[in-house]
Amino acid sequence: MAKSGLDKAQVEHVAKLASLDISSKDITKAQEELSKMVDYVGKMSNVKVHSPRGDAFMSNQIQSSKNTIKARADKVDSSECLSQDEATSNAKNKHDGLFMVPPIFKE
Amino acid sequence: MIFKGNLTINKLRDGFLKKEFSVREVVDQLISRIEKYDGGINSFLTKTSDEARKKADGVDKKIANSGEDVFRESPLLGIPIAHKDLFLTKGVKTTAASKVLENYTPQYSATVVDKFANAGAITLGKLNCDAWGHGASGENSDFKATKNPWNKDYVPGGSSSGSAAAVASGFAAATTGTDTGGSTRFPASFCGVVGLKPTYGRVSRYGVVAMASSMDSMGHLTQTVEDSALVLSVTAGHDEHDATSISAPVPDYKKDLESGVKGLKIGLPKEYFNKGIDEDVITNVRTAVRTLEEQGAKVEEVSLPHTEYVIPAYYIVMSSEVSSNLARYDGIRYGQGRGAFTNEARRRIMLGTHSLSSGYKDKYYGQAEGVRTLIRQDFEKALGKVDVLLAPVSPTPPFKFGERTDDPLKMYLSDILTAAVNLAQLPGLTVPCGFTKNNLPLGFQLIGKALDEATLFRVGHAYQEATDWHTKRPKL
Repeated sequence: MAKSGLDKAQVEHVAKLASLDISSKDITKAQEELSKMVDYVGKMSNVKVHSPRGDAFMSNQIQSSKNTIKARADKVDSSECLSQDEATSNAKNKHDGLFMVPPIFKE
Repeated sequence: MIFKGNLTINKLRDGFLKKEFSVREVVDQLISRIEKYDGGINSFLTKTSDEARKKADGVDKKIANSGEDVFRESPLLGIPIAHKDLFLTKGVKTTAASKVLENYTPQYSATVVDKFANAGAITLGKLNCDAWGHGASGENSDFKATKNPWNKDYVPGGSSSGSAAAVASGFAAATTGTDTGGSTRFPASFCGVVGLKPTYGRVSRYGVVAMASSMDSMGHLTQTVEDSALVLSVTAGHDEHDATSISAPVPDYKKDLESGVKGLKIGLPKEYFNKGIDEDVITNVRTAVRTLEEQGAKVEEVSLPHTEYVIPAYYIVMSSEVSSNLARYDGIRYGQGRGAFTNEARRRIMLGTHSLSSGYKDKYYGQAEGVRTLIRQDFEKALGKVDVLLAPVSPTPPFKFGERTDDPLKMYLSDILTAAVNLAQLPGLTVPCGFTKNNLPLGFQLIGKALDEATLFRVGHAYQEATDWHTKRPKL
């Protein structure tokens, strides 16, 4: 495994954070692929970057004084609201027009 | 056969005006063409033929009642189009080519979808792509891989695979695409059509399945640069539903279209023509450069010194944003659960989650954003000296199915010439410029200053006036 690679426990931790189930067979493969990527992107670690890092969401060129980000008015437009039936129309599990969620506590 | 030759918006509009054919006749003809040939190409995931016929009849009535004036109010009146399946279409299944959304029917439409409809366009259906927009070949669709209409053993490029294949096949005059790391420009090059990635924020992202929100750009594919300019004049503009959409007025893209390239300065980034790039690709693009020089353009070499860090920075920023955007798919409000994600999405979610996790976020995400700033500054410097940059789109000509699927990193390197433009949020335009010995399309890309799509159209149109590559179509 590459130096900067991930070990099994790290892959399991990442899968847990990402809410992805991962089988033991898949862990080995994910470990291999992630390690290869992490190793590859490591080549940028020596680049000297300016501080503060990541000024990024929109470049200055785009966001000039004329093009400032405009938020819309904080008002409810009822013509754009979904009805309860519409809002739940794509849910697999419903009860009395409400979304059903998995139980949080085990019996 | 009612409509003959290449399916361009201008030609269709002329035909409608001169009553050479009706909108319904064109729509019927295209529906039959799709039925006949798309089985071997797989560009469509959903067809909306009945709706399209109904709408076509309505448009024909409108033209009969109001005459030519209706075309001024509705610049895409009667034009047959199709949407990449990442664009939400009210009442029409939208899957992102992913099993997670295989039964999802949106309750509202994307702003771009509404804009096409309001301009009079007729939607023929929804187009295949790499699931969630993740891929450079089209092979990551969870349903079926789109094939390159020029040679079905080859990939059409991705992620807007169906969008490029549909325009190349003459199924639709324009299609929508998304471009987060090259997903519109790349397949356009592989299929021999024109593909625009607008400046970030020029076109609203509202209602499009999000991939990486700081780079997602809503583009489109057409057969000519002229058509591309016309479509952008419809899709561009501020949208109150997308706070990052730009409020600057939309210029008249037609105004300078015919101005030619005399005196314009074109920069060739030397890092985009180096050893790692296929020789045939370079020779072909250099021939295109000479054509523009003959038209009076001035050409000089420029440098984008941080090019070698583009893929590392792009894959960290993109996967981080992907992991965050795909976190919403919990299978409760819509879609299947997270178990329905397939390999490529899982890979990107995992890499992004790791890059953002405690103990690693400065090393990966923070560093990648810092490198991104340097990449952006490279472009600002280069574009300070010239009007536009010109470069190959893909480091290789189209490749065969399966050639890169075993090695994700090899596939990721396909984006090496396109992803920097997304990191820098600039506009880019793919223009077809010839063929390989095996008759597979090649293209070059133009890269412009922020919000300067007009210059891209001007240069691209001048090239198409001087050449006829864009008129070549595959035999299906």
